Amino acid sequence: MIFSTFSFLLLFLPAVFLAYTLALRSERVRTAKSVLVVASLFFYWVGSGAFFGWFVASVLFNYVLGRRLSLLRERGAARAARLVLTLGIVGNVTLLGYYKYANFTIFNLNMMFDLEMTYLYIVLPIGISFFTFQLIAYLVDSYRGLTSHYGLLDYLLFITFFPQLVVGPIVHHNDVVPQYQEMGRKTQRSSSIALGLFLFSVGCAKKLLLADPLTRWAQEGFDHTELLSMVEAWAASVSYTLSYYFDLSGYADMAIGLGLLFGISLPINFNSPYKARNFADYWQRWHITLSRFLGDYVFRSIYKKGGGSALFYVAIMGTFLVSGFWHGAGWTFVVWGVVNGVFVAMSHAMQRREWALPLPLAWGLTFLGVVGVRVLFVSSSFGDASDVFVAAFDWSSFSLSGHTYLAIKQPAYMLAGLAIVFLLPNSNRLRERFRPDWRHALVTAGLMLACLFDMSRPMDFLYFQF
Amino acid sequence: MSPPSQPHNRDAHQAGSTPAASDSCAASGEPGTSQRSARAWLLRVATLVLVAGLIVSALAKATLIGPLFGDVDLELEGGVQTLLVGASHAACAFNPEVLSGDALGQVVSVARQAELMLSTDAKLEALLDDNPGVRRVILAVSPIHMATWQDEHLFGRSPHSRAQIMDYYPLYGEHTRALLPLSNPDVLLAALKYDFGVPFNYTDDTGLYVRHLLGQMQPQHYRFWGGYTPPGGTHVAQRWADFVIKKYFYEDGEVGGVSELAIQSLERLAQRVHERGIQLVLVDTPAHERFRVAIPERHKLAYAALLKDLVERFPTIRIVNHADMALPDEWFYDPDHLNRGGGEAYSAILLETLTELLAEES
Repeated sequence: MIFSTFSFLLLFLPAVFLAYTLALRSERVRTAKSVLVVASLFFYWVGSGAFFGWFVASVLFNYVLGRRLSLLRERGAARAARLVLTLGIVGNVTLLGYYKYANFTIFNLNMMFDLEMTYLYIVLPIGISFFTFQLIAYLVDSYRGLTSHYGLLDYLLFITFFPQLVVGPIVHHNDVVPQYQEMGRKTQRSSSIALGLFLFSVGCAKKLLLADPLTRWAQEGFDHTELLSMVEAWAASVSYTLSYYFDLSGYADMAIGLGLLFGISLPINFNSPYKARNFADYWQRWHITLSRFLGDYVFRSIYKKGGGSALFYVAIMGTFLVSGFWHGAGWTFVVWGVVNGVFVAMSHAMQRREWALPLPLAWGLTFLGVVGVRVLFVSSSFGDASDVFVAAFDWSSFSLSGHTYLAIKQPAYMLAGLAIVFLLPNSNRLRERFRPDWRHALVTAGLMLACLFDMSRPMDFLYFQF
Repeated sequence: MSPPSQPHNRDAHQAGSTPAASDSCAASGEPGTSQRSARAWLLRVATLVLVAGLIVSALAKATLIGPLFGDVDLELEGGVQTLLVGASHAACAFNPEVLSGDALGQVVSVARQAELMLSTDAKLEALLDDNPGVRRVILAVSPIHMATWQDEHLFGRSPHSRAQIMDYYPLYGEHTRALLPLSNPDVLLAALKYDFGVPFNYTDDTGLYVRHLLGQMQPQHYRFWGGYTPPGGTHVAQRWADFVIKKYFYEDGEVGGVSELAIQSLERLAQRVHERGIQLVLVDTPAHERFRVAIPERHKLAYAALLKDLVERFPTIRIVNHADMALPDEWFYDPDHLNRGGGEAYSAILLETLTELLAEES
């Protein structure tokens, strides 16, 4: 189910909101939580099809393991706990590996050994990469003894809460479980509902009014990479760069807004990433919850304080390699991860040596780099990426007219997108400045109406594929 | 993903703080007052959305949607004699420029990717009503074209369903509208847009509105129009063949098969054309061998029986079976579709075949 659809907005959300509010108002907290869990499972079932059973089994399996880990820790059975933890992580990674990487493995085996193995017909379960991270984090922290006081209902809500289930923000149990545990009559207040509605309308507008058209036009270009002119190559690349930001940050705004409708505060996921002055800065602003997870569970498992420079850079490269694999089963994603790792390592090396470029130059180079890695990210092959890079610098194909893969409205949308990204306050700022006044009412109503009137052709969120 | 220093989001709200404590409107006065003003604000937003929505809808219906979609004018210039119709096969394989000439007269393609037979029938009806000079309709068909993806695109509440219903709804007559499932919200949305003027999809429609206001609207500007649009490139490896087959037929015996709805629509189309004395040519366009051998036998048999039955009922129908034609790999975009070069080259072959066919008949 997509947030920006009529069935979600006019049927699902009002029904869940009403049931939850009634339960809370009558101080039936367990019922309120159950409403959210059942609604979240229904939300996932609609989009997951045959995988739903595996999802439920996996969530329950991890809960049992988590409880077992807490118990073993209390008894001081460290070796048994390590075994259970390993079993849990292997189980989660195997499930993710089968659905996400089985055909990638077959592809590589066929290539390497000249085999003719048949590909499996596997539909990637929606959100599997996201909730697998949350489940692994839960197990690791159970092993560390941090989750022993979590009840089943709070745990289920932590994994399944529908606003963030499929595309994040990736929540750490510590972000939300304490809120679920403290849930009560005053959790859901009119002020948080108002703020939630405002943020939801901002996110919805980012997705429907900016990301969707830009994605359509950019994809048209990337479907015909060998035919692109210089202008078209840049237009497609910048359009995709913008659309990814509006799509994913729009989803995050909607998720945070939805959370607030139910009185739950979710972590922010974006903070004006395209204003970054280097790649280290960029990754502290882009998909923040993913960065946090990889930092906590991958980077820190490789690098410990005082570990030396070499290990520091190895940890960075290792973290980005995992990130590349996490994003997709393809060598383009792996190389994308490596390139990002190199850029981030370069940023840190420069900072350590206190080399600083003038701000406009630093920002410009970073944005160019971001566009470049986005090309790699969205290309279906290295050949396609290479076509786009070559076309982008092929002055012989430069022309201001006669473009086939440049939509008429595309430049206007790109300019508007760039202006919003660089000149307007981001959603975090808007949230801070929000007041329940006429100005915000007009903006919210205007954005909602503009979205409702443009909702008949919504596209999937781009990160649904990860 | 950088070394884990905290993000310097000076304006960031971190999770864990309760919304009531962290949101700014709660801090803007006494808690009770703040909650009351928030409730008033929510009511204000709801009222604004409702009132503005009704006003915009009424204006849109009167000035744009009504005139533009109420009575779709599809009259073509230049005395068109032959129409090329169908879904992606026709859109990739039939080049109207190559096919135009002495044998077929002026040819226009209205084929469109993923067009359901039901929609092809509705579009053809509107075109034939507005263009009495048309003498011939060439329709691309194949087992895959008649498969059950047609039903899923219509009833499946997918983006395809939305696109199909929203784009073609103005063309659907009473009979077709009666077939549409009311349980599908997309049907309701289409009715709301075209019957009541709620301007859904206005950003996509902006170009049409501007053309309409400038008096420059032509039939080919409608989204349902289509045309000759083959893609470039070649992807005919075995894995692509497997993928395409699985995408459309899934596992044999599970979902695939010939769609009843597609059969009924094709029969209605044949009947309509027959009644008007227009010749219908069904062309089974070339498919790559890797694709042909992968089509389940029972689909092929069901499809062959369907064509046989059609020809028996409407003897004027002509069938051109080029499905098994061996063409070079580089003519194919994927195992099921020709690419731009392939479409152009194949159209020349098709023209020869059709010229011979017409010569025999005359």
